[in-house]
Amino acid sequence: MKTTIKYVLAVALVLGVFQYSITYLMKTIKTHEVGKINRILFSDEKFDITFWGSSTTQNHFNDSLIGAQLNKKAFNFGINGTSIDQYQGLLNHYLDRADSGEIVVIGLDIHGLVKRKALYQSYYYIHTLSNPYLFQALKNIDFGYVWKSEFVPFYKLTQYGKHNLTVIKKELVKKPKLPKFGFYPQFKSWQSKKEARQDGEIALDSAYANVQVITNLNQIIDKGLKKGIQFIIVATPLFRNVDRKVKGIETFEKSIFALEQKGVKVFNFINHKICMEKDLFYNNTHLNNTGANLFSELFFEKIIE
Amino acid sequence: MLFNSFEFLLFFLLSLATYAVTPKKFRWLQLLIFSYGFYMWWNPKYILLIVVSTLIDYWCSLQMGKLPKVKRKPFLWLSILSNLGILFAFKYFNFFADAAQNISTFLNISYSKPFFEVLLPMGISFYTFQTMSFSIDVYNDKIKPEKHLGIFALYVSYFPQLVAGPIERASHLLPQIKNFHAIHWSNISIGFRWIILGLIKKVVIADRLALYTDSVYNNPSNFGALTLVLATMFFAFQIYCDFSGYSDIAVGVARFFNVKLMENFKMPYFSTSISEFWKRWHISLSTWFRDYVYIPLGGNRTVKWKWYYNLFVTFLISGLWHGANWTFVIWGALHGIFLILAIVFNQKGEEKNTSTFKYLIKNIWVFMLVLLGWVFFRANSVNEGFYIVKTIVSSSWSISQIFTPIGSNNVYNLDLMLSCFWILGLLFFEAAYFFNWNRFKIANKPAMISIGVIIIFLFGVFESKQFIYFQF
Repeated sequence: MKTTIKYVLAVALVLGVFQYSITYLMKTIKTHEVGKINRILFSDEKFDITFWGSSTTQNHFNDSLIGAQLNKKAFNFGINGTSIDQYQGLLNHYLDRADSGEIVVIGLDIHGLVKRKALYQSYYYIHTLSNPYLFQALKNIDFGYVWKSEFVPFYKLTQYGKHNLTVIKKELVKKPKLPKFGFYPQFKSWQSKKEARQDGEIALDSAYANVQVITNLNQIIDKGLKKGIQFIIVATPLFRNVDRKVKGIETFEKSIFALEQKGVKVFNFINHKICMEKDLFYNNTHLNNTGANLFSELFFEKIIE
Repeated sequence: MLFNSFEFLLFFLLSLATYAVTPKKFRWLQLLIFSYGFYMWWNPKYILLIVVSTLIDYWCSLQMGKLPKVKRKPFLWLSILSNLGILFAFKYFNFFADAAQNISTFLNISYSKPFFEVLLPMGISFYTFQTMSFSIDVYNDKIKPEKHLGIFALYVSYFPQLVAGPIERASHLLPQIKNFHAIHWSNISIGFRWIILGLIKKVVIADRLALYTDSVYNNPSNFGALTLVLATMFFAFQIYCDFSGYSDIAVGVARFFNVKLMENFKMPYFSTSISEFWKRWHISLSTWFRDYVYIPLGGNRTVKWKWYYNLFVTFLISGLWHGANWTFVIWGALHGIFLILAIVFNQKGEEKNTSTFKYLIKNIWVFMLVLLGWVFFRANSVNEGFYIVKTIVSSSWSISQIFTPIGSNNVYNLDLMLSCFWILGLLFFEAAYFFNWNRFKIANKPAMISIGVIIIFLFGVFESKQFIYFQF
């Protein structure tokens, strides 16, 4: 029995060391989307204007360009695949340290108000679960996963994988500096295969406006407004050829315009003329680099207005 | 509920704890509740099928027990037909409806295909075969009917082996589960080793190999000949580790309750003939087919052509048992043909004292034949299976091809590297036992078990992948 206990303790020690090491290393990542998460959670850096949302924020808002034009310190915190439902914990945490007068821009594409059924790239969030905001937000999407990751001994270790190791390896080998901007331009042209597939699925193309997600967004905005933070909601461009119909788009637009009553600015680019320019997109919801730069200019003009 | 899930760990610990505190005379009920709960976790409705199958076979076996053998036949047929009926309705109906449609189109006969939209009940092929073997054994006076309905129901639904075997015979399992021994430390220790071994096979090896295999087999036309060869070799080890891993965990879990399930795999890839392969692969199923299909058909005690026919039919049915798809039928037919050819050419297997060179040649040859079968077993359709074989045979091979899946569908260099490493490790580990290299036998050393646990945590793929044989 004594021998067994010794072995159990030895195994637990080895696993504990590995788990702690990987968690520690994940927290030190500066680049990649993990770097953005870390910057929000483990840094006190101040910005004048920040951009929040999924890939349609990450790939559309050129923070360097907008920051230079506005003469403000800007950073794009957009994270691929992370709609408001998943990143609300990050935004909530950030608002705690944001100062009055700061501008928070939330980019929403037509899927931006969807209620997620599963966590996207959950392995990039495991090291953050001790943060109460993150834990609460992610728990609402996948309770079992988040609870087990946080409270079951060594469960975290089973969820860290090659994706984490790749990010850690890059960071250790290249030793990069802290990035100044978070805009990820996409140098892509329209992907004809994707277009054909998506055009065939027009009926399935829907905009979403989940009540729970909207309530959560409202709560975050209320919290920020109390601190004197300014919010801008941006409905990001959507490629719309003549026949293209998007189910539920009216409800989506109505939901975001309802936020104007709180004093939030809403910029709607869904029906903007750039949405008809196929050369600016690489798929239905994503602008390429040229499109993103043009869109950033338009966004700047709107702010000046 | 998967054996490699946290939910199962909780379920298992709870079942052990409640078993330990339940008085001996009620332990059948405790285990039955947990076994039904285990199945209902997946889909509560389908427990009815197990209950129906249990009640019919229980009643039929009791009736057979009261009658002389000559009068038992109607009850035997009722049991067999009801089990096969359930299997046909839920697993094969649409397959045969499709086949009928194809034949009618070919013959230019108007026929509108019926479609029965139903979810395939998990493990249906396993528990129906287990209860059928019980009825047949009662009919043949090999065992006495079980009078206690609860214990019989537990035999049918015993959770460690309910959804993917081993398919246990009543003569082996029933006396053990009836004993309801107390939990003993020595059994826990042995059971734990089996579970660790099974988990290594499943989450460390099989699920890692699956990343490469799935990526290639889901789009075979995107890849070159050598990629297809490597993916097929990986699949050979994936399915072995997946299924034998499940069996090992089942053996380990049952061992905690002092029940010794049969060993389902005995290092099959060290075989030197196809017949030896089948003595080492999915032993509980191959012996089932031997005892309840092949021998009743006449076995080998008949004229040669009938012997060949018996072999071929047995393997054809075995292929169909694996799934309602022509790919499985072809896989079964290929193995039938391999065995017949081995008899025709008087091939001898299982020669352990042969020279190493001879052994290797035979072993590699058998492995290649098995690989050919796996191509059809894994292919998404018969056409894709033939396409893969044709590409392997007729296209050029280059080393660079094996790296083409890297980067697609989350397949990383690390996956390829680890896959090769674990396969070599597994072969070395099994070779130590197969060839009796005593120095390298490691399974019983606590230090190695501890390392096994660490390997599972650090190198396991935990994305809730189902065991392949669950679908059968």
